[in-house]
Amino acid sequence: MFIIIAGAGLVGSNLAKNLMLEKHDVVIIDKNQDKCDTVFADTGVIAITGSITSVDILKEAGIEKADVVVAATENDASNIVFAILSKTYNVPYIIGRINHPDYEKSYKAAGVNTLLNENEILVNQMLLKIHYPELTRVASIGGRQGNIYKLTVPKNGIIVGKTIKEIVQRADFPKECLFMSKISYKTKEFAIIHGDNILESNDEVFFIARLKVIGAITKLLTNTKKE
Amino acid sequence: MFQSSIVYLIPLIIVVLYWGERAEGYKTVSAFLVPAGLSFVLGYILKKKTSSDKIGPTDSMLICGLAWIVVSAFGALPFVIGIDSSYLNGYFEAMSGFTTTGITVYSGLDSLPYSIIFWRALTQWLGGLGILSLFLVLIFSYGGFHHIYIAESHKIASSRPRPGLLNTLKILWGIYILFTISSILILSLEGMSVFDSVCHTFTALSTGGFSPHDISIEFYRSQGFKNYKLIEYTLTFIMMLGGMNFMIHYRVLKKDFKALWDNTEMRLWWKLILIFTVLIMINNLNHAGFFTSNTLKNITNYFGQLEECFRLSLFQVISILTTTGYATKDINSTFFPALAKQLFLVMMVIGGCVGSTGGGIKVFRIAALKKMMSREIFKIRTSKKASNSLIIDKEIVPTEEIHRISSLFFAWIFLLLIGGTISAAFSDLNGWQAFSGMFSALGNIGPCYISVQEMIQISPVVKITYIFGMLAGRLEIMPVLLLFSLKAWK
Repeated sequence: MFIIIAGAGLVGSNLAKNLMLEKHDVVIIDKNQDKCDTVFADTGVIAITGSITSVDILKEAGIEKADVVVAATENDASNIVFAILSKTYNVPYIIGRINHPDYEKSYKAAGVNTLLNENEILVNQMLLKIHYPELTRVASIGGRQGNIYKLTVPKNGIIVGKTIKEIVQRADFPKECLFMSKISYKTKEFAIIHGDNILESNDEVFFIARLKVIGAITKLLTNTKKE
Repeated sequence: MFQSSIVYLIPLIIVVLYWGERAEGYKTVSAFLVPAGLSFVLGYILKKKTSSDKIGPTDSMLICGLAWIVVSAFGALPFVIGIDSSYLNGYFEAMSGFTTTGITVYSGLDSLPYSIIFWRALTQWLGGLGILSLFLVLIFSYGGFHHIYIAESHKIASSRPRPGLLNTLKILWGIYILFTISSILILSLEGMSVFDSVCHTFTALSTGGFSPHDISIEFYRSQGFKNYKLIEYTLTFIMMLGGMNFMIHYRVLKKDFKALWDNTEMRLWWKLILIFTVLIMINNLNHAGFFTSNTLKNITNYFGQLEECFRLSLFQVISILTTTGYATKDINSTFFPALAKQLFLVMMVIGGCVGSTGGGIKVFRIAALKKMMSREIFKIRTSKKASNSLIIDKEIVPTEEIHRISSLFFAWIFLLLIGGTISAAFSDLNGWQAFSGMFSALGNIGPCYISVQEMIQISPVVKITYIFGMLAGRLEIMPVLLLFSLKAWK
């Protein structure tokens, strides 16, 4: 894919580096020459010095052929202008990085397909880690009503050695939760799990759950046997 | 200078050890005592006269250039007094030694006094030590860009092994001496005489290439040494050590084995060795009818021939690429067909790694030149506003350095042409031979397509040209041109 990234800050250059490793064609634009030189030296992506709101620069970068553009600067106004200009050149997919929530409607109006707020993402992860240190959220579904989580089964857990069927039939198992898969600690293999599968200690188990039952399910999975 | 008089006393030990053999005697004693005395006196005068003002980059470059000239002037005396050589030949041999080149104007080496043979080897060993020191002095006086030469550019904090010029110098010398001692031990264990192993270690590690034998390393095969294969492989390895950046050795000795692969220069180095060896092997085998003849039917013969071809090709590739110049097969022999002979000239221009004892343009600069070429294509292909700095090991090469590399490259080619022209004008050699001489002198290699006999008889003009070439190649041209620039002396 041909991807143009606006802004060679930490977010932009890291994204460029990862895309480069995946063998995509990447062009990065920044008005700061030093930043461009650094990202060029570091990753080898084409780095153009200039304003992301200038049509000339965007044409130099090849906006007409871009499959995806990412507005990744810390300036919402510039990001929005960049998104509008990209839209006029019929870029099929535009990703925006929103810095201040007040601009959300403007981003939508500018035709941004996906809007990401790094503060919100960070804050949610922090909240989760504070409430349930054992859990890691893997993905959100339906506007964060449901999430996919990852959890490592503790050593003396009451569920160790039990089949999925046994666990699900327990009275304290919340109904709005479903086991999906696990990565076995012993074999390091990934497997989709069914009723007959057994959970061993230190297995990484993935499940989907509604937000309100996280407390119950976490308690069940991390409860340890009394010695 | 003052201390250098001691150097002349070392061969006296050899004189005493071999007293009476091969015309060793009072004559060879005086051959070393005279230069020792002279350099002592000169050193004393210089010490009295020079004031210890601060030395800038221009001064240190001038001193380096002069040092090689003066040291060779004294280094010639043992040859003049000891074996009644002409002064020009003696100077040629000494310059060839101190610049670790290895072109010789003496034949019948197997019957020369041991102390003279040892002196030839010692000049190269000292030359190698001098080059390592020069390398550091130059990068410290250029400043700024030095870390890229030391090939740890991605870890700027540890770009030098330890801070400070003197400490780095001590480390380099330490590694050099460590390698010297272990190489002498290994070669002696493999059945080489102690004298030979000392001489060979001195000239292999310094990538010089003087050998105590007229036919170089081929001696061990032709004399039917039991371990000759092992000796050849061992020397290949020692030469390779000499041709690699000593900072890489430092990192490897510190158990950082990634150093062998994590930088542009080393990657190109291994690739060059592989490509040249394979090409020369194919060229040789094809020429010898290996692919068409019936040898394929006889399996032992098949592997035997393949191993021999691999050993000889690898040895010669490493020998020329590191600019040592040993031979297990004369590069002018039919064993190496036309393609191989051309490739040897290419290798003579490339040379060893930066920060090694090898000569030539250096692998790093070849990598930089290659990148400069692809950068021009990149510039045409992309927007003018796109970043287009020259990147090596994730580090931007400053424009200054790019200019330095390109002018060095031009000067190199220019001197090759001048040298070739003079050799052809003042000799009866054919064009191919005459052209090869300057490649060998400028790249500090040793052998070329001119035989030793022809080299002895060649016109003094050509010899002086080669002396200049050796010095220019060793000091990477600029300091030598500086010697001829009046402004620099002010």
